[in-house]
Amino acid sequence: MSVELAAYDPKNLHLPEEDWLRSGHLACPGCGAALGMRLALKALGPKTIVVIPACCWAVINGPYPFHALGVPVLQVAFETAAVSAAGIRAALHMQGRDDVAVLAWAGDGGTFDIGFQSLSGAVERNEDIIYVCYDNEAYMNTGIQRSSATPLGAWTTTTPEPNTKPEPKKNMVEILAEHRIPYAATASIAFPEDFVRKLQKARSITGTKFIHLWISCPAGHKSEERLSVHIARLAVETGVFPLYEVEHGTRYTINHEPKFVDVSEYLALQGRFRHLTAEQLDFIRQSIQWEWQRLRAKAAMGEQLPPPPAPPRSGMVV
Amino acid sequence: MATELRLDDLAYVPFSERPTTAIKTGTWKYVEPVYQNALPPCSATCPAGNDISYALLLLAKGQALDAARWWRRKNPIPATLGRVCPHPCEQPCNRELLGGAIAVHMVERFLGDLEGEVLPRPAAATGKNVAVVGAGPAGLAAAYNLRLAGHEVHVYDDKDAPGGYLRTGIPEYRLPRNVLDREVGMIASLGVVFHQRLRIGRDIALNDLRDQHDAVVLALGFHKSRALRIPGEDHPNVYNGVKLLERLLAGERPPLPHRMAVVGGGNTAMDVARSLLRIGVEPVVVYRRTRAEMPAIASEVEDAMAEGIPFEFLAAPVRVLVEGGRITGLECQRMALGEPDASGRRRPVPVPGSEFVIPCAGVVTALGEEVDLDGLPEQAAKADPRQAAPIPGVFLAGDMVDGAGTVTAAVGSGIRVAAVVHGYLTGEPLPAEAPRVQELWARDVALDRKVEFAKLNTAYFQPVPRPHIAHLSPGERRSNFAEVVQGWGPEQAILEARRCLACGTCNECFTCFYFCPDVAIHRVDGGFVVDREHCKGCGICVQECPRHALILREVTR
Amino acid sequence: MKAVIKGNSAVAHGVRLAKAQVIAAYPITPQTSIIEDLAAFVAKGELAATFVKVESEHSALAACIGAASAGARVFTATSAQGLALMHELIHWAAGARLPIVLADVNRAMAPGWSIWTDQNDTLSQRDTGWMQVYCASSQEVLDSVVQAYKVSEKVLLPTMIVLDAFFLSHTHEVVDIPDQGVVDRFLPPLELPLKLDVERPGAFGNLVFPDRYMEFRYKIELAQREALEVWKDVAEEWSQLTGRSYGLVEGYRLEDADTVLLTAGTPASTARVAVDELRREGVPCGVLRLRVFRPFPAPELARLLAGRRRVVVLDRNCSYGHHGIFHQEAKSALYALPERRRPELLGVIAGLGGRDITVGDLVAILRKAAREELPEVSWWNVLQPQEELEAAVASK
Repeated sequence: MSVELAAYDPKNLHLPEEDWLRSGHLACPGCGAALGMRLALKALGPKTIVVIPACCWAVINGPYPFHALGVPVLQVAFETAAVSAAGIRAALHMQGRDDVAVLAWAGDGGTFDIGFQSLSGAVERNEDIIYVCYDNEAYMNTGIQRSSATPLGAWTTTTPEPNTKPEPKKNMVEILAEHRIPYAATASIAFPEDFVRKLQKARSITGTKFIHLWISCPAGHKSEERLSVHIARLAVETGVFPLYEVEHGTRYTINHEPKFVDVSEYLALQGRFRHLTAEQLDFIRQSIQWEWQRLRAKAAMGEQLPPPPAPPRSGMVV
Repeated sequence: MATELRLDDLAYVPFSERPTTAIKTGTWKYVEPVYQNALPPCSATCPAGNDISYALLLLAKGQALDAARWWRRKNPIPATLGRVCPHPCEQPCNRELLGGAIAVHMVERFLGDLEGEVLPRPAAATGKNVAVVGAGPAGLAAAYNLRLAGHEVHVYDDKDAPGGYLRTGIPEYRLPRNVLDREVGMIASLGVVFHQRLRIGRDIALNDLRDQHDAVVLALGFHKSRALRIPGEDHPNVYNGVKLLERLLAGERPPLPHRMAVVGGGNTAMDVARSLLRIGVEPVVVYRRTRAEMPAIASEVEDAMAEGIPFEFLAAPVRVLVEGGRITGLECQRMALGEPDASGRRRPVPVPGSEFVIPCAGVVTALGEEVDLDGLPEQAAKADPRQAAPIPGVFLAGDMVDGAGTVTAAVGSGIRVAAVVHGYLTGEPLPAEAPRVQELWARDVALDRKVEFAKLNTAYFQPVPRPHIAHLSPGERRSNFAEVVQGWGPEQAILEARRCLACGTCNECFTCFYFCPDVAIHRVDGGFVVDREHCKGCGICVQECPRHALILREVTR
Repeated sequence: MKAVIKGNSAVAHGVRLAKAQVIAAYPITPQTSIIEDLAAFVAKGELAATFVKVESEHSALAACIGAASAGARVFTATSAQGLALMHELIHWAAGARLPIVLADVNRAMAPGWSIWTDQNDTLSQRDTGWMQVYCASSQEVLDSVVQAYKVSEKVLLPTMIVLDAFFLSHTHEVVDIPDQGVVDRFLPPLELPLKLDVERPGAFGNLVFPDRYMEFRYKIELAQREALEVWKDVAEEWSQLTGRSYGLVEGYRLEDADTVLLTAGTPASTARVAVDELRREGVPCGVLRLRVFRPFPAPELARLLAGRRRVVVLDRNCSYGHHGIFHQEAKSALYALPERRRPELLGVIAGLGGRDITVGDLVAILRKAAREELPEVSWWNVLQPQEELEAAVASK
């Protein structure tokens, strides 16, 4: 008996096999930032220039004369990721190299806090760059200090017990959506196909693209190294970190409907939440619900609105 | 180094071009991932130890012949077993919670039926010579595996053709004769010599066999039926189920009463009842416990019920009622279920004053069987844990050893005894006990690590429903012995193989590869290897592996 | 082509002629009209450049660093607070060895708010590795911008072109604007030895351990030393093309001067008039203008000032707690001279926050110096504490 078959593919993940991240980089074991970069470059490929401000990746890339990526890297000052990328884009444009993608790759500190001004400026000017914020929810490179991306109730060295962080996390995608950014999205290292698709989509769009990538940090979250992907998945499946994208600030697409696993399952795996009070836990639960209501309401509103009028290009185009 | 370097060798800025691969971050780790196949619940449960997940993996890839050959690596009769095995492997299947257990028996049947280069080749001749007594499933499995090990094998059997109970006790609607004949023929084609119509103890003496062969395997099976021990049992219309079945299967059509009570809850009872139905008799099954306690294969019970056979549960026969030389009914007593007995099933307890009569003109007893040692010394049937008899060079297999009563268990027993005998023939000291049959499949499987559902990473699996298995309609089954369960074509079999979670077996799903933050898992032909120079031992690959085919172990330096 | 233009326009023309490809800037008085002119050039198609209209000076220089790293010729301009905001990246640009040209319109630092000129903003950037050129005319501004690209791209260090607020930035003068062809012959397109290049994927700026950091800093120092010669060569080449020559320093009537006024920027022009006046009175004095301040032309200063009786350093800046900055720098240069050849060095701090330095002021200063009445360090034309006034009266 002969058996005619379609090719068997047992793959759970359909991603490019080729890598532009090299072994031997200096990330901690189980680092979500390293995994994120690996996936990002799988998506973007060799015609990419990466801009890295002060953040864990400034170290991960290796000490001189070593280099962990198969693409060019420019390390830049902490607060300048977006605008440095814009400068590179301007140069490439003048050189006729619009085929090269410029990827700004910054942590939550460099994005939410110290780099926010230059990011806001770049987005307002609609610079043709891809900006990925890999968010581990604190200043991890300096040893776990709170940032405005740190969630409420989290322990850090600057929010020690019992003064854990009293404020909820800043919502970066929503802030940028209000800039009318052509494309903003959230992503997770536990959903690599979604992340890769979003980067590839981002590459196809002219203008500023922002991707907020949630990553695990075993050292800073006080979690087991092996659980880095698992916890990232739980962040999504509990509803803590919704996966969605926003086009032109109005068109929302929710990419993954969470199972809404109880958030305690996510929190319990991270030592930074060990001392959560009942009130804080209650707030977190309520916030998940409220944020999802809000997200769905925005998605519904976006469906009713036509896309905003596209601003005409004006003046001298070089 | 610093002394050799000059200022001019450095560029004007620190421009980094050397790949970090030169940095051996693997020294950071204290644990590391290791690819190691773990034992899936199917194989763990299979009495024959079939390496199911690996064969299904080959089939999923479209390598159907390789899969069939793999299945026949130890098991000589998959086409048969795919039809008659109660497939205990499907009970613990981890797919059960994700759409329904894999229909392993259907895939086994498909692979067993495959024609082509499906037989393994025997090893080089050893010059040793073994007698196997009994050509039932245990004897066939022993003969097959001893032959594959390179020994000369002679099978002695008292029936007209090899197969034992497969031929005499399993109706054709479950196991068509051509299927059995083909598999027996395949065994013979390897060079196994069958000597039929020779009964040990009568036509040949055990000691003669011991003289003529380097070892003897006794695999006589259970053929002697237990008696009802009730008044009226000696009436000619009270039949021994095993014997009646053998006659019916041989094509005899004795004149039988129109309505017959079949006493028993095992497979023989089901086979008898369903066979009677097919020759125009109205059977009624009488069983002293309930359906839940029936030892028969559940699907056989289902089929019997689907065919309209009535069941009288919680009924124990007390006498056969005979009037004027004719049986008029079977008087029974109602039973109630009491405390569990030694078998773990609840013991039937008579309900006083509950006698009632099941009208019938004949009775068939199917109460279970035992070994028929007629002409053999009692001690020849006493197996020790290594399946050896107290008589040097004599080994045992099948029901004689464990009374397990299923074809698959008999095959497993034959595989095991072959390993013991092979060791004996090659001069190795006998083991303390016969090896677990799973080990004998000789793939690198960590038998001490069984993959329970909790060990799977279910984030990677979506529920996929178990496919349909076509049966002849009950109407189509009456009055003929056509095979009831319809087989699968390659498309269905392959789709089902692809539904297999491959518990504990790497199926190259790439999950470990893509989730390694250190790019330390490399693709190689047929799988993956860990780059120990760069793996930092985070364990994400182990945690994320959907099928528990990776473990973490401490680094030894 | 001759035109009457402001100093700021001279900057913009220089940038246009140098064909800068990426401009990133943020407006600040008194720099603003530079970038307005550049925006107009780009809008009219007279300059093929991408103008990144950033949201801060910090981002302006960051964009320039990004663009220059990718191999583009870049330009930015700022002033005072803007330059201070850039400070982190001023270091960065030099450390990265990027040939960025920045025009700074010298403006006093707040508080209180002052939009008027002094040199403390640029001199605060003295130790960053940048080259600094202090201009005294609009023509020099234009010529220096073009020259700066040539020198920067040769030695791979950034250059700050400095012009005084209003006295130069907003004063109209006749400027000869060279033809594009002339500049093109002078300044070839930029080809960096190393840049962001997907064909050669390296990393700029990775962590450098103590075993190597110093070598790369040493290379900055070597480049600065080399630049002293390169500035001379480039000036010579420019002079052959345009007839206008510039030295590292510029002397005026130094021939027999026993008193020399040393200064930078527009006060040097004023000083020429003062010197002419004093010469008519028979006072043998001259002017030495410091043009290229980094790299520091210490040998030139020593050579030109050796054997003079005295040197008066006019600082429009102050390193609080220790004199004017040019004063200190001149002192360090003259220390190399044998003691008998070493002139007396007098420091005058004047004109901070845009206070006028008139011909009369400079005549008075030089006259006092010639009479040996000028203290070693003094603040000119500033209200004095009561006891100092009393001391001054008493001494008379």
